Amino acid sequence: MPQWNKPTGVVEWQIVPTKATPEQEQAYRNLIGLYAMALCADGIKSFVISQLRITGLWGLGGYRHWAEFCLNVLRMSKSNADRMCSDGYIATQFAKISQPQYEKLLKMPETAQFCAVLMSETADQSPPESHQAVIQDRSVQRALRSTPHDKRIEVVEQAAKLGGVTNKTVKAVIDKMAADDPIAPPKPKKEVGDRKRRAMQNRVLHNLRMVGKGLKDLGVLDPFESRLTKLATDIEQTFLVKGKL
Amino acid sequence: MSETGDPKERCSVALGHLRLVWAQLVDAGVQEQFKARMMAIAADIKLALGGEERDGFDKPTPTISG
Repeated sequence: MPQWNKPTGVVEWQIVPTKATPEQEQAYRNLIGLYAMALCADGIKSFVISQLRITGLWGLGGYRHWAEFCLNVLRMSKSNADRMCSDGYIATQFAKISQPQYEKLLKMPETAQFCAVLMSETADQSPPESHQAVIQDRSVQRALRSTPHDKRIEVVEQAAKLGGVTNKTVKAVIDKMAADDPIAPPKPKKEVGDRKRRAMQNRVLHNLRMVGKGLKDLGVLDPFESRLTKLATDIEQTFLVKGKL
Repeated sequence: MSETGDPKERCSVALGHLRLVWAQLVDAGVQEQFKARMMAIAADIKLALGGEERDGFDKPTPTISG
């Protein structure tokens, strides 16, 4: 029986084909592929768009395959299989989103639009070949995540044209896009925010005051008082200057 | 501040907060401009409090063996 190898960032799974048919194994792979893409996507919208546009599984065969898998491979009862195939359960399991989020997702114009396009395109066609964007390399996953949302689908589609969506092709496409986009401004160095700056300053000055208090308790503050005061003033000034930190 | 009468302990406690200040300056990346002053103040405080810290805080004194 196939075993879920719950991904923890790296997409991987085990398939132990015992009684599963090739179709069921493929369904299993497809569903895990969806999960993989959900991990790569950074939000509900991108998850839905990626699964609809890249795999086309959701509105075509996803439910049926998953139902067959639950019934025939996992040997579930019909009622349990139905529950496992419910919108909310699949969404929660594979996209890690909550039911309210999923309901919101279904109301998105993009969702309805893509579903309509898919249904119209495939109404008189056999189901399209499914694709999976299973990215195992963490560095490529990071690169994909940092790619602008509107470019991400393009990356995967171009990678597919290069011979398949693999770590290597995805990375090649991302590198090429970066090279072809010389006008992209460099990311500005993140400045320390005012609140954090004040917090740091307060901590430093507090500890400096504690130095003075300790010396006072020990009766040796006098020779150091002016130096500590000047030091505190200078440190305060340094923390006030934006960009200094 | 510590109530202990041990001068080494008092010295270490007094310098402890100065070490915290230093660590925070390092965290903020502004340590270099204060390094000389901080070291001078620490050395003078240490001297004023007996010149020795609790065991393990001072650099080991070189000894002549043999």
